[in-house]
Amino acid sequence: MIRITTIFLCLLLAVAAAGRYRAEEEVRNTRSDIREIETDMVKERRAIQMLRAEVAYLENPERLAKIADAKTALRPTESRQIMTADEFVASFGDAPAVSAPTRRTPENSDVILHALAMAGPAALQ
Amino acid sequence: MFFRTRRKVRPTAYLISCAQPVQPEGAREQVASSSVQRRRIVRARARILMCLVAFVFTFGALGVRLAYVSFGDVAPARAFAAAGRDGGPRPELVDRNGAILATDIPMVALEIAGRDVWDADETANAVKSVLADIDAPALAEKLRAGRYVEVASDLTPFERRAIFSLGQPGVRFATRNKRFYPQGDLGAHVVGHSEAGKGGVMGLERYITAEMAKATADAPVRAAIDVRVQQALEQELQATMTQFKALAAWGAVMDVETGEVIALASLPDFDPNAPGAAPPDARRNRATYDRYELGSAFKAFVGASALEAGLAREDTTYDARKPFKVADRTITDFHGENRILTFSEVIQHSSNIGAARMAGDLGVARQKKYLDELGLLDALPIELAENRSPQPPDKWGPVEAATVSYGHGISVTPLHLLAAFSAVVNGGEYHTPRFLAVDGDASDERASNMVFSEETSAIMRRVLRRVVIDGTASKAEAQGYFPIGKSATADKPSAGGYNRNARIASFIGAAPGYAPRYAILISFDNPQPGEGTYGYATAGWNAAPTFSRFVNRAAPLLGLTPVNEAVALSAFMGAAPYREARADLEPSAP
Repeated sequence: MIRITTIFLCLLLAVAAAGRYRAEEEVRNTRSDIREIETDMVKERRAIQMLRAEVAYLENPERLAKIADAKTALRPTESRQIMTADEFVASFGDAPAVSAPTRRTPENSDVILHALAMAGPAALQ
Repeated sequence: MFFRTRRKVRPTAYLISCAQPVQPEGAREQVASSSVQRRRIVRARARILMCLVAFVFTFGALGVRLAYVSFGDVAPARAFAAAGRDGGPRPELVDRNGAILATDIPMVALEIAGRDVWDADETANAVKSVLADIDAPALAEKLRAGRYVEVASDLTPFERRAIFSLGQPGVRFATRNKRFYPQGDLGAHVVGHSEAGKGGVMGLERYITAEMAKATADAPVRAAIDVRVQQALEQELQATMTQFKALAAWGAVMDVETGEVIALASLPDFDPNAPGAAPPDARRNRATYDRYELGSAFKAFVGASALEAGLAREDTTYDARKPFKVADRTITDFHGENRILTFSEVIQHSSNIGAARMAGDLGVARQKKYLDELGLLDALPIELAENRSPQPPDKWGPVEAATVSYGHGISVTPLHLLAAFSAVVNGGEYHTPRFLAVDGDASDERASNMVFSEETSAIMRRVLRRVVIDGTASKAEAQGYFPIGKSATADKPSAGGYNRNARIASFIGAAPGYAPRYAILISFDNPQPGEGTYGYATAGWNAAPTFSRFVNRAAPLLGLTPVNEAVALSAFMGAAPYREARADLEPSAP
């Protein structure tokens, strides 16, 4: 009986050792994977940070203003370019744009309608 | 084998213990044989014991390890995962719309360990072949001395590859974070800058460093400024500064509802990426740190105080026919109307005499009380370290009360003036200026208090509108926004008095005037008469038109919609409280 028990314990020990080794190996591999992923994440994050900084530099309003001055005839919006639909009617008569249905919120619709009217009736289709 | 031996020795051991008086033939051999068997038994037992100990030890160790793995601390793995999340040790600074103002970017530094270098001259010359601006002999000297040298702190990827391919021993690359300011000189005095090893040394950068313990690198710090409005302000200030050959210019835009500073400029300015390249004077924040006697803008404060104290109405009259004597001081008007003026006309035509008479009615104690409530007697508790306390008169008697009423004898920072003016036009509530955006829990432990009533504020809006329509600042008009405001031209103090040929020209106003949302200050240091100004260099000729251009340009960015005359008039004359009027008229505010 003792012999059987001892043999059983030996086998158990061997199985436990093998299981333990396997678990350790898996943990080691997983840790290695995590480390790789974390390293990749840091690299990606740094790359994203660089790109965001670059985008911020490219979108710097001073830079854009200089380019716009040099390459286009764009100018800052003036107040006379913004009016309500009623004012538009009063200024320009019954333009088709004004009578067109609007799906916008009341606060913004007048300005947007005016912009669409300036772009032409096709823009309202 | 081990078990077989154990069984065999048992009977023999019994024989050994048996007493025999007479030893038979061969007994000696038997005894010798049993002695050998005994030794074997002892040895076998020792082996068993050893095996037992080994088993116990092994199982015990495995058990302990198993328990440790099962129940032990897993912090190392978490710590590792956390360590990977280092996007930069300092939080990003962004504007109110999320545009980056300051961020950390990873840079590669080139370092050479002198001890590992075989040939110092060869290494130095090789590095110089890639980085032309280094001093090769000096580098070689340091390497020969075995020193560890940082050759460059910001290599480009190309330079890194080129140096790596040189194959020189002792060359190392280290990753560093460098603070980068993508907006360049835009809003430089608000953003500030940092120095290696010190962190932020100015502006919000300094604030971030000081508050690092509370901030996390993951969450950006959101400033109140809007870079688009900032750019419009700086460009308009610069254009006028150049046109009128002013020494300096400054300006600011403040949300009168929250106290948020939407833009703040001080020219000349500097690039935070290379702060050392600009003279120290350019790094000085004139809008928050310098104190000036800002002149007639103070008439709005004495006027509102007189109204609030019940000492004046819109139609109250003041005698401005002759100079006004207060003790030994005679007060005159710059452009005297030389007639009796109404309350409104005193401010409209910027009458020093009328303002001094109002201050006389108000008295020193009440004047000080209102100026104190408007924050004009104490330092502003703002995020920027670059701020100063105002400089009120040492002795505040009737003469000082009279001069303070038109902004002489009291020095305040431009931001003090802007915050106080906001309270005059916004329904009477004073807000401390803030440079961080108001979001969620960031609001609001700051001081805000009611200084004036809605009625006083409404009267002041009408009066200040008349300044633009038919007063000293007709060039401040901005179609559709009906701005209100007050021009102020103050002679600069000099030894023994004031210099009549050096002045600070300012216009402080608000838009839209009928229900102000933004208070705006524009100032120039010593502008000169220019083309078409008929020899004048007063605020009405330089600061007021700059204000007008800025409002026209910035209002669409700020979501302000122009209205027609009828709407504006009804708001100016209406009895509706300011906030209700604004809510009705400004639905599209951002």
